Amino acid sequence: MSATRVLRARDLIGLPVVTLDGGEDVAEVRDVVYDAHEHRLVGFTLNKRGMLSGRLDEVLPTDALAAIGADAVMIDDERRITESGRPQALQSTDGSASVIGNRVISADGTVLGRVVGVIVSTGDDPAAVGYEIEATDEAGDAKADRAFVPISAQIAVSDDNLMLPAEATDFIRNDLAGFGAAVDDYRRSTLDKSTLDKGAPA
Amino acid sequence: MSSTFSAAEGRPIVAADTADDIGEIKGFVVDPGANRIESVHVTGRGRRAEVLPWSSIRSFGDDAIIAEQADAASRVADDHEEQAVKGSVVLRGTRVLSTEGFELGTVDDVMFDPESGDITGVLTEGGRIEAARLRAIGSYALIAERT
Repeated sequence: MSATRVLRARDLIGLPVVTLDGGEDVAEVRDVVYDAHEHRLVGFTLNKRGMLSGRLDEVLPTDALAAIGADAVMIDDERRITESGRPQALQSTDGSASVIGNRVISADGTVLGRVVGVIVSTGDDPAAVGYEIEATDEAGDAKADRAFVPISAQIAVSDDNLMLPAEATDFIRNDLAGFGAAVDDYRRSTLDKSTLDKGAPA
Repeated sequence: MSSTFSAAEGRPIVAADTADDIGEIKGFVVDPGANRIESVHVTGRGRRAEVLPWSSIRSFGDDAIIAEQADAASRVADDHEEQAVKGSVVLRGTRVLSTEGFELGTVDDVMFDPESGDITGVLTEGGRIEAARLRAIGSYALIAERT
């Protein structure tokens, strides 16, 4: 199996929303709605397609997607776009929380940098899989270095910080292309671990 | 037996009953749901365009197309036909998207069966995509299943 391909969530903005049944571009991604507390990709707000495109009232929840690719967001048919008359469609647990700008601290107390973006997996089961980090020097100023850290259930987030669990450190990557494989490895390792934990005597 | 849109374009269309030239192939109107040629654009432009239904073609030859009757071609009947002859639903140049949302290229040419009018595949710079993989033919994109 080939490695999961990943994308920056902000690169999804402006992508066309295309129907699988008709090959029509029915909308485009206006913004990405993300739940920082659950590390969950909630969905998209939408714009109309075209030059003088305005905002669409309808939204697109993640579970209504067929796939996310580098060139388009795919949906089965136009009916997958839900009317925002149902506001719960894109509601997050805490709409005000943001992870962008948070300090990233490893389990051993090292400050790795600050969060600059969310990374999502492509394919037919799209989800938030990581964070992009801008490394900071001791004075807290940004350096050019970028790193990608995987998301797991063990990651802790507050208004200021993002705490990485110790086992995530091995899966930090400096290139986005290699990060997809790291995410796969990380998931596999946490899966193995939880299987072991369950099998262990109490 | 297979032909392509680019090879067929420009071929004269001759009526079987009068032996008159009634036009030449200017383009194709494709039924997007059935992956089949619906009609052939024969003459004129826009609303004044005339199309020949595939059912009125007696023979799709290598050198000429034989229509059943000289009056078989008619004005574009619906919006889809009009859009097609205007060039807003042209297959060539249309992007091909995988069902996963990745661009696979653009359509260089379209292959069809001259007997049935069925689209048998499309050619992109990346290679040939069989009709069985085509999930939809839309104005924005052709949707192709992953191999």
